[in-house]
Amino acid sequence: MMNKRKISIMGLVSAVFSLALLIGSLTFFKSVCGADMHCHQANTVITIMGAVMLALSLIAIFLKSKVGAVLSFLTTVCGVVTALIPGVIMPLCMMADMSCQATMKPWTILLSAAVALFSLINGIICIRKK
Amino acid sequence: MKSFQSLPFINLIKKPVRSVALMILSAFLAISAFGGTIAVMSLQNGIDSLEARLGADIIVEPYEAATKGSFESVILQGNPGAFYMQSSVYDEIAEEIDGIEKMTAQYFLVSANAGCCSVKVQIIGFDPDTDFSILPWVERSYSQELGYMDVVVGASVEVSTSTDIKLFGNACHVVGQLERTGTELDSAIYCNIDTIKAMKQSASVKQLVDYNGADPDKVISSVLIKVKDGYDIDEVTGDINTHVRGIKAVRSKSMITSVSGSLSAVSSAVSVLIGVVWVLSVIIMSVAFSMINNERKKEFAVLRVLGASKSRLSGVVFKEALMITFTGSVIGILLTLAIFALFSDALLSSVGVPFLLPDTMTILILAVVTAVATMLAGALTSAVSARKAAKADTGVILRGDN
Repeated sequence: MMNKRKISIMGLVSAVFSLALLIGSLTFFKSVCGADMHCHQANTVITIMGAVMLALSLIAIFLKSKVGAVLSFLTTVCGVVTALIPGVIMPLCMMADMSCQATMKPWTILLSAAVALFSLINGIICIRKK
Repeated sequence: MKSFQSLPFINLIKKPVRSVALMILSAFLAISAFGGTIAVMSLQNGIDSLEARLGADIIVEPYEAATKGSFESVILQGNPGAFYMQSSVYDEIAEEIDGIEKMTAQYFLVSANAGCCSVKVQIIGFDPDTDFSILPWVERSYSQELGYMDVVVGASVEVSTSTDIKLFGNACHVVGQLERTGTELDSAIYCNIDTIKAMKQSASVKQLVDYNGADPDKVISSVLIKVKDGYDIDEVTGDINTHVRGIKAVRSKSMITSVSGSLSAVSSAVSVLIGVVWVLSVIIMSVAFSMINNERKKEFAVLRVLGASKSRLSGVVFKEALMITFTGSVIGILLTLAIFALFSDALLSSVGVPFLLPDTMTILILAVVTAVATMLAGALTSAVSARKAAKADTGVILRGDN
């Protein structure tokens, strides 16, 4: 009983953080530097990754088997990749006080790291339960 | 006996909701103390850094710019700006005013948000022969002499050294990056007088800057003055304003004092808030521990029957509280650090005042002090209920009379 609850909670937390990342990248934390800036492409990719992680996390909540573990680890990888998108994988604007650098980048790093961490814990719990 | 040692840990694991709720409370305590103290220290650091960075006693700027607050706007609000006065002002001050130890001119230019420039940014030109304000900072990151079309960028300009950036069609070589100052000067690009003159010419040709008909080579933006020891800064400032027309000399300290005045009010408010949060959290924690231990009376009585001494029982409760508050405070501290480290630029832009995080050692000491203080608060609140739990009459509790 105990493990069942834990798996659901970790998966749920991961899904909530993915949803926050997705909503943030579309609203408060989206890049507003100008339509022709590089950061808009990065913003779009982050939104897509947020949606993918949300879908994976939601499915993983209901799967407590080997498949659940695989999905959770996949979410972890997505989380790590998403955290690296702003500034490392994709370029952002040059000034640190521009919205993409000041808000979009930290929000993405913080939330993606949280998604990666909780998905990893969920995956480990799935494996141990098996 | 060994099972008693692991009992606090098992208790926490077996009651996850209770443990997590208390950890969140401890984390909240740590966030308020650690975050609040770092915020107050960062504001003070920012002011100190701005004062050190300006390095001048008096700033002379065009009269119109002074009335509009343009210089403050560039430094404090981070609005790129350019204003000019005749360079003859520099010679007039040098000839007519006594008590000047050092004096240097600065040249402001703003790159365009167009194809000719990589980025819209404040460009500040200085004269390496007379400068005492920017050069000491530049020398920390670039020890050689700044050459023609060499630029040094502020800490907030995200560009690697040894790359080229385009400014008014000129390819400028980035040779270094300045240390963070927590002021809007971090968002500027610095170059020598020859480079800024070439850029001013290019901007003039492209009609991107209006010098009001003046020769771009014969205008300056500001003059920074260091007063000789033994001279009164206010008197020298007054002398300049009396003898030189079309300019305004201001004491740099008065500009900073106006900012630090408003900051001290903010700092006091934050300190009061930290105190209120701490008092409330300690009260809530003490009530929570008391209620939890009250509910666990039968559990404690069983442990006493199994042979646990009063001191061992209170030790179990005490250890549980320490584990909870330690984990909570670590989570709170890490979360606060992550937020400050990641959102420092956003904080700087939103508060509109200099904001410089303390150095790593100070942060580390603060983190340890916060963790110890949080654990102490948790331990003290739980100690009272632990004593009560140990003193309760086992027989009465197990009979269910209480």
